[in-house]
Amino acid sequence: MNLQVDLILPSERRSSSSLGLQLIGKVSLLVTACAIGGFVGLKVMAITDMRSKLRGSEAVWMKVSPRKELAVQLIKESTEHANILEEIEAWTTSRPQWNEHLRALSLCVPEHIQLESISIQHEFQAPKNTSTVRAFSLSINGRCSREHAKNAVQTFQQNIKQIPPVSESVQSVDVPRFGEDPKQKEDRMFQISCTYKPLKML
Amino acid sequence: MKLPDDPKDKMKVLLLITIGVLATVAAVAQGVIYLIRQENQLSERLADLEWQTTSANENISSAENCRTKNVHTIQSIVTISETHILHPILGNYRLGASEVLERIALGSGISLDSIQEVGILDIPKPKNKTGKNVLKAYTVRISTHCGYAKLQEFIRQLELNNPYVCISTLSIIGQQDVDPESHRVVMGIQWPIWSNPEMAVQMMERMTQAYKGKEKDHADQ
Repeated sequence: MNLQVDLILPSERRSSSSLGLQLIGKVSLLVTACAIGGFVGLKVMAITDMRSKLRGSEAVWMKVSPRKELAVQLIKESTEHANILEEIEAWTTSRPQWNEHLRALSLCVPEHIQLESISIQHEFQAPKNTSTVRAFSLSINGRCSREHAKNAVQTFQQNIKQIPPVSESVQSVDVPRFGEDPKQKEDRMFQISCTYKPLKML
Repeated sequence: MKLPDDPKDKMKVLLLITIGVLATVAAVAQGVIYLIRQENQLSERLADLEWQTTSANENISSAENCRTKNVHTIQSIVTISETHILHPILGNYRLGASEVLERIALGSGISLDSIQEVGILDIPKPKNKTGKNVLKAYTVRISTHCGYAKLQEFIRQLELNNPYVCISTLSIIGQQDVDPESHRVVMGIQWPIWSNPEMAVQMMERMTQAYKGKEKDHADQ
């Protein structure tokens, strides 16, 4: 016969293990508190360090700031002056050297042609509103005896297209008028019209 | 510590504990969030200040290079203004233009029949360009009778004398019946003029200031 004698009540029983639930709870609490404390400590140190760096940077900025304003002003003025100079220089780059063009024209007139007039027209244009250009056109009026007329005018047109500096400057060379001279039926009158490439100004 | 035996009291105690724990956690979390925010704000401000300082130093160093360039630019503007831009004589531009044209005509062996003022023209400004144009165009029209070679020489000297002057219109008409060697010539000649006539003086003042600034810079170094 077996007899069980309980010397302690079930509610009074304790675990014999050294690793109890309560201990784990206390240790976890302690570790958490330490971790939070450590984290806060590190953050406080970082903030203090940053504040000190910030004071240093602010001191540097106070010294640099007035010099920067002067530098920005100087850069602005320099850009403004460069723009003024560019606008002035555009006057020289946007003009054909007419003395050279007239000389070239005089050299390329075929022998049977007699020139009656030469005219140059000019206007300022802003074609795409992104820049202003000088647009030149040159018009030549002349006459020629009937037998040579067609070939001579075509040769003259080709010569204008080929002779520098005119050849480098013109966009198109057309013959808008070719016909009988009302005064002398044996002669032909013609007009050669040259449109120059636009020259950028602004 | 033992929880009370009474279930109602036990619940109250447990509730109080829970509230206490939650309040503590919330307070700690708030504190940590505050610290993190402070650190982030300081870090951003520091980075911002460092960026501004770096950018300022770059501006300062490029301004030092700019100073010499600026002096040269102003000097060029003043030189061109004095020699090639047409200035009014007591508000009259024609007098200055006439002096130049008559001198060149004399040098090229032609005599001018007339010099007429066409006027001042605003150069159209493209829409994408801000600010006013600093220059306008002043045009005179001359008329003369001369041979082609002499006319060519006149134009050559005119263009050589002032690289900023532009022949805007030209009409050469032969006179076969009168004199085949002499043509009737009408020519439009365009000069650049300052939009604001005070600009010439202002540029001189700016040049003086720029020189002073450069000298001060040398002295500081």
